[in-house]
Amino acid sequence: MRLKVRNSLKNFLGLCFFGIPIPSGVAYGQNLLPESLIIDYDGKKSEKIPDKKAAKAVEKDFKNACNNLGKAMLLGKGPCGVGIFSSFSCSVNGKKISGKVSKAVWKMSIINKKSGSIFDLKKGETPMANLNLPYSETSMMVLRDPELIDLIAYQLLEQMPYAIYINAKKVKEPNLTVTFRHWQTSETKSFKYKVPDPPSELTIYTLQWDQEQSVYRTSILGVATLKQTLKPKVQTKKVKGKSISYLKGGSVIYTIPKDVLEQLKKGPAWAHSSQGPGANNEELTKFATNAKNEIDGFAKNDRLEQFLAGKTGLVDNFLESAASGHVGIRYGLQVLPAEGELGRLLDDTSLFNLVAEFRGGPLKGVRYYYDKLPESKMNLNGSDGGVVKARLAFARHVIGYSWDFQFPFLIDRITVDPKIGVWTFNAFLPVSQDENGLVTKSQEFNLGSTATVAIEIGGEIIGSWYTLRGFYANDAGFSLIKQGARVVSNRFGGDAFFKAGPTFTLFEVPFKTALLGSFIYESVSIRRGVGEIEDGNTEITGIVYSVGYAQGGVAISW
Amino acid sequence: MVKRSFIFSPTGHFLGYLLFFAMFPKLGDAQTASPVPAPPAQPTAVQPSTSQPPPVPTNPADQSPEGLLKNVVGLFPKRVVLVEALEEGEVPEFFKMDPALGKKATYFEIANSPQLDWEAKLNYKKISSMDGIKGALHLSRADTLVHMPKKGDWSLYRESSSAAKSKVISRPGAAMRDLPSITKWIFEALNWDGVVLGKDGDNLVVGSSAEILKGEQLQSLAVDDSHTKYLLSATERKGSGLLSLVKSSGGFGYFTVIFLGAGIKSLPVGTKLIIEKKKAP
Repeated sequence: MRLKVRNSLKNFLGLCFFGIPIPSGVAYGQNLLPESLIIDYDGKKSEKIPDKKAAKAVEKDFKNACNNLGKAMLLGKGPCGVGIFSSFSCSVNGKKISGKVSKAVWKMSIINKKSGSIFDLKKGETPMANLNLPYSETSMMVLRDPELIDLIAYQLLEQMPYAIYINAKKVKEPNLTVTFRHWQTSETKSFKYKVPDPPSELTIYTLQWDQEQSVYRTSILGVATLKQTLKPKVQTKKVKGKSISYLKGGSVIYTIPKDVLEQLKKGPAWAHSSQGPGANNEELTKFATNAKNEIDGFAKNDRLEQFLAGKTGLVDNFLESAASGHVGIRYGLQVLPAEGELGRLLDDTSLFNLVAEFRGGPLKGVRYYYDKLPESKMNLNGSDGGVVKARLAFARHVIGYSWDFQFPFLIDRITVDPKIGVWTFNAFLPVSQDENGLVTKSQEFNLGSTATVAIEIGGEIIGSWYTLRGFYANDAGFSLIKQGARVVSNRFGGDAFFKAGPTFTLFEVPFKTALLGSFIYESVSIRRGVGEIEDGNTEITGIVYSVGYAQGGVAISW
Repeated sequence: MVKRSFIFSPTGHFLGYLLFFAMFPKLGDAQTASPVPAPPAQPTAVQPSTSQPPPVPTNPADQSPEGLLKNVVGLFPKRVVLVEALEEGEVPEFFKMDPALGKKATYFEIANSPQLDWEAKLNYKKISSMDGIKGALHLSRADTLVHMPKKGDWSLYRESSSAAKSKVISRPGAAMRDLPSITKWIFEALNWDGVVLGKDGDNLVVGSSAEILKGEQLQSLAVDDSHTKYLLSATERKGSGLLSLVKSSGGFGYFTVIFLGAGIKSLPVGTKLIIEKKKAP
């Protein structure tokens, strides 16, 4: 019995402390391997394109964009070796338009709506990566640019739990190096955008999906270190007899430890910047956003081809910087009902405007307006039976800056425009009248040049071919030559800008013509100044009048 | 009786009692708020323990202490994750350590590893969308989390369906941020020194720490009805049996029963132990 117990104890101890391997790690199923992707343009969620021809053109542009993006996300095809998909197809509203993949667990939806050009990558129903770039009507068109596509693919894959596919074949012995494509390999002689540096370290690992916990599990094989970055060199080739320069070559080279190669010989693995997924998301989004804004500017200006061909010199940049804006003239007549003798004079006035608005590039927000009320003269009837020779004229130069803010409903954005300017006001106007409306007293209002400050608040609705704007503005002018003299204007109204008419090219810049329309209601309060009267007291005299002008005009936009 | 006699002579029993009672002041020192644990009822009556079958492992071949730990069910930490920073909406910052040291230090697994750090980065979207404690427990597959902020008290959490109910205890952190100090802090927080993980008759596999088990011929008090408790309070340290250490390896110890208290037939898996602390010679 004692022997039996002793053996029992011995076995128990042996079992507990000796000879039994300690289990290490937990198996979570198969290593994840490359899968297929479907890239879909979701036209239903995108901005509606009323014109069928334009809609067809967008689909065609999408097909190009999809092919570029799909290729950049294939195994190792993206910059610095990113790319995780084995194949891809393109579809529009779920209907396949190219590629062999009919079903895939990975789907990228592209939606182009006013809140942004959205790239939404999902695995099944799980969101995996997304990018929201500034909206433009030309979004699909500009995605034909492989350099922009590289930035988009890289930004999306950087968020993923795996970004780079690596196997033993990619490792060159005896130096144990792995070589990937450099960012700046271009069809043109210069690279257009700012791009991030290659990751200094890559973590190499196998990846499994833990079904129970719904998380990725990993086995780290090792770390690859950036050894060298070789920039591409300008090369020349002849196309149709013309000599074309372009960037060729360029690579990023990593070294890996020997034991990682041994493990790669057993099977492929994934790699990612050792900083981890999403670590540089903010910076990469900024790079992609800047690139999109830049190319959109050229596309809006019908200069996409030149931009893609690398013609972005100083002159080009200047023209691009002024992109998106218009210069126009408007002329209108007073339309409010006239009352009394003053009303007769006001009814005879007209208003001329010169308008320059910059809505893109570094000058974005700058506004210049010149308002001219040509001198209007009229003989008014005096209460004493005489004639009062009334007149009214002013000219106003205003320069301002417009800040705009997105607005969530009804209108697209609100604008706030502070302005400064010079207002020259000269008039001889009736200041009082009798019960019959006849002039009893008139005064001179020669304010000369007054310095004005103004604030304008507006709301805009922006369509593909029009801009509608409502506004309220307050201008106050203070005379520089007459103490106490001032003129104050409260205005509100609406502007309309419609693209219409022919397009023409000047200095290689295409210009479009547009029609302008507006209604302005203006209430003007003029104070003549402070003057002395006979008994030594002071008098302040002034007048308030209201006018309304309906205007039409033409503009040139670029 | 015969089963135990090869180890313990009647003299051994007597010494055991002496040692048992000699332990009390020490226990009182370790847990200043604790009253002196009551000795097992009627200690003179050595109860023949009824042999119960050891816990059935899911992998019958895996009878190592680690294997027992994997398969045993009970209220005690089995896998612990050490977290230095837990910010809402951010991936937890795990304590950096050599996983090999963890295996030698304690019976429970310490989940911290470079692998875990990398998995946290790979799963950042999911984890950052979860409650910080739940996210860290979920990712590390740990049942216990020790939050060790650089300033302020440390806290011990256990897996729970509600984040609010998962905090077990908060107390001043360890003076040093090394593994022995952290392990010591955990056992002090739990208010016990070891836990019965498996048994074969009177032979028990106990989970503890290498630091606690480093002495020779250690004796231990089994705490009555403690298998139903995760944390022992100061008033829950009533003895139900006296044990003696036969052998130890890392954080695992092999103990045998010297005697059980009156009415105690066996010590269930999950029973917590107060282990004699011997000063290093």
